[in-house]
Amino acid sequence: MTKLVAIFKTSEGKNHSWSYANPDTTKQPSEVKGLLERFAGLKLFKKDNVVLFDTVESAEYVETIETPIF
Amino acid sequence: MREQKITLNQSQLFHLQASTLETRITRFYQLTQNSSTAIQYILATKVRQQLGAQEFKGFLKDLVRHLFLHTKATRTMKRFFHYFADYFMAPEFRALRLKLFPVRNFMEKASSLIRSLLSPVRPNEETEANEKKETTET
Repeated sequence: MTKLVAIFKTSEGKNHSWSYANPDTTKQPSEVKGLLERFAGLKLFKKDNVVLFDTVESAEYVETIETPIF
Repeated sequence: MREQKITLNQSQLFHLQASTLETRITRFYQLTQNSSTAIQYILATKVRQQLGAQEFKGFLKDLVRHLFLHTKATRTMKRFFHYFADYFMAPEFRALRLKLFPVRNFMEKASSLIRSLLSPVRPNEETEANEKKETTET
């Protein structure tokens, strides 16, 4: 299974990890960055007055390979 | 207190099924009448759609159209209005844009009018270049 894992900065400057399962991996990196910036621009989620998704830092695709052993 | 229970978190917005989210967001709006947050939720689902979840195409179209056409547009709604161009027909979108941004449209129209009035007296780049050519020839 492939996941898109992104690191955002909170308004306090701390890292906040976010992931999305089964993304379209054919998207251009600039397109994915633009979408994540749009999401951060919403400033939608706050915890104790701290914006959780303030700016986007980095993103990567993470593929998990499961090998059954019994 | 009640609003807190019906708000959605990022995990719900990016992991719940489209049909469940449709019910939850509609319910959130019906109970709170908070159009700004509802629009932000829908925009987050649009991001989800563009990341790969095609089932969110045209998500909650009726609610979005109702919010922009029949309610007072909030600052947040105006800010994100252009992301919902595909929810409206082109003439409808233009009319809505006129309604939502009257000052900006006035300025655009005024500047184009001033430009059109100035154009007869403004020197043409081509003629200017030709004039220079002629003077060098003589």
